[in-house]
Amino acid sequence: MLFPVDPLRLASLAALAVLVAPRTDLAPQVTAPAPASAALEDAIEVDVRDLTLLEWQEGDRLPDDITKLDGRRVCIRGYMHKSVTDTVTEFPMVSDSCQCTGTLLPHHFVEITLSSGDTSPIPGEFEVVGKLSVGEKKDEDGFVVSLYRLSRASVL
Amino acid sequence: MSSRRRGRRTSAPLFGVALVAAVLLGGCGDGSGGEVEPVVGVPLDPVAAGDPADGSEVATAPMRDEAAPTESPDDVQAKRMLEIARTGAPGKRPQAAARLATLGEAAARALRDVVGATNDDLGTLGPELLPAIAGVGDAELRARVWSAVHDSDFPYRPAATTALARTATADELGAFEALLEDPLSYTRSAAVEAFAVVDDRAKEDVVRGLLRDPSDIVRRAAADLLATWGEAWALRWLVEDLGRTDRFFELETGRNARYESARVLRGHLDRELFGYKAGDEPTTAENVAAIAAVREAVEARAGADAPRPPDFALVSDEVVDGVLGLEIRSCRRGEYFLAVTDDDRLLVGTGHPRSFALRPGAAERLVALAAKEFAEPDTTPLYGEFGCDQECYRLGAGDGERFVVRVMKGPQGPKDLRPERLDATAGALLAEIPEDLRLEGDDRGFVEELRDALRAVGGAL
Repeated sequence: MLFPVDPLRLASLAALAVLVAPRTDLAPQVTAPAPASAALEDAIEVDVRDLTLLEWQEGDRLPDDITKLDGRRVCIRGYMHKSVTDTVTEFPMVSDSCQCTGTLLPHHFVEITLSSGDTSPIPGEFEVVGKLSVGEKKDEDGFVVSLYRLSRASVL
Repeated sequence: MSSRRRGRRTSAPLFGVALVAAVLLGGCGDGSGGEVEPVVGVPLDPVAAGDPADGSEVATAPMRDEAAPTESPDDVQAKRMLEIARTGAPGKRPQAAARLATLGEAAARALRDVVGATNDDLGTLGPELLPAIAGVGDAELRARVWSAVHDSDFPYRPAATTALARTATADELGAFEALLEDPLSYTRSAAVEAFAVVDDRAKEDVVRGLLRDPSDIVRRAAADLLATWGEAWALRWLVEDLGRTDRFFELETGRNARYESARVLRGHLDRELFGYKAGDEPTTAENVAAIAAVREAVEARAGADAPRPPDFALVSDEVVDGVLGLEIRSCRRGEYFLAVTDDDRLLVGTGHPRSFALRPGAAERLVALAAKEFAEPDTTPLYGEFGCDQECYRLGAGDGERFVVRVMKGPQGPKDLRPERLDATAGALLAEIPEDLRLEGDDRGFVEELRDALRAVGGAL
């Protein structure tokens, strides 16, 4: 159900929206260049929840719908993890804006690595495009450091 | 320094025995402080300790038994896991915490050194260590997590509740039952897990009552547990979510519910869920067929006379929109979704929001105020610091000509982060809500609740 809006009020609100052009000095800064639109054309849109809202334990086989995305160029929409507090070139992307409820397991995030440049923390949902790789990546201690990685990524 | 570290030492074997005894005494005590007397009254200095680096005659005497005790492999490992759990990459922290929790007494020793004395101290560790602190098998440490859960200013109460619930014992069920009345939906849903862990089916009526919770997060957790207990009819609540397309402004609340309920249903039915795709609209031919198949599978298990979802839990396509939207997410005071419509209504919640009358002319006054407060082009989309708690203001009409301003905050206590113009906007909104408005089941006025939530995020109004 969409709620009706008075036309006069709508006009005043439109004017209001124009008046409040965001200041840029405190806005999230992304120095990575946005990809050309042509580069986006071959990207598959993926909801981050398709990757992160599944039951998974170390060693589990991932569903075919996910593994078939391995190596593909994808566009993912989600939230920056709250652990990011400074300018970064890598960050975890998650499906939920509120992350006080639990802990970050390997299947709960996509590790984003920017192709160039960096970004400050970004509030709200946003999109990144890049090449997705799927599968357990372990470190020398045997920790699964990631299950999904988006490399050469750009913030849109 | 922890009192347990004050024990003096003479010989390594004696030290080992004393340490084990001290830890056992402290760990199994009555929680009255766990003060441990020094084992032997020998001053701790290089000479007395036989430090070879000292070079003195005493120090170089053959005192094999008096050499500084080496840490056990478990102690070394515990300290290492603790360090990774605190400062490692975010994705490694919970794994390190899980390994830490398997190290028993060595883990407890390492954790005692970092948990501090207050809930604020505990909060500085973040949420990742809470499962280890709650689950390492130390009664005193577990009591610290319970204390945090009962502290409304602790920033990770849902995570702390989850940590306790996953290792719940039967004698704690009363405490978990009390948490089912908690103002935070995530805390209520986390508490449900305790009933699953203890598997106390005598509490089925309590869990059934949660199917009427205003939060779909809590209803989902209850339905999941009831279905696990053989009450397949409870899956009807989840089937409804598969068709949801509701929104709160630009937030796709229905889509999120589709994903969450599909995940739970996969666990009870089958992994493919008849080809259902939560990311696609429920109206695609494939999803229409899949939802019908899921419904049929659930009905085949549920009795015809078994309970059915109430109206507010049925499928929803409502788009909550209006001239002002305010989303408050406070890990301390809960979540609120508010919209002021053009016809002076206040919508509260998502899915099937409740609707209340505001004072006549409220929408017009709020629009005028916003136009005045935001007339100067010096606003910013983010005030405060990047974090989980936030106030998100959506100002504008329902045609996409809208701007969004956020106040965000990390897990620290109250700060004055909200700029004056948003103080004015939030204050004006509260002033338009009738003072006597109370939501069903709440014993406090709604305005008071909102004021507390706003105070917890952006500071006092």
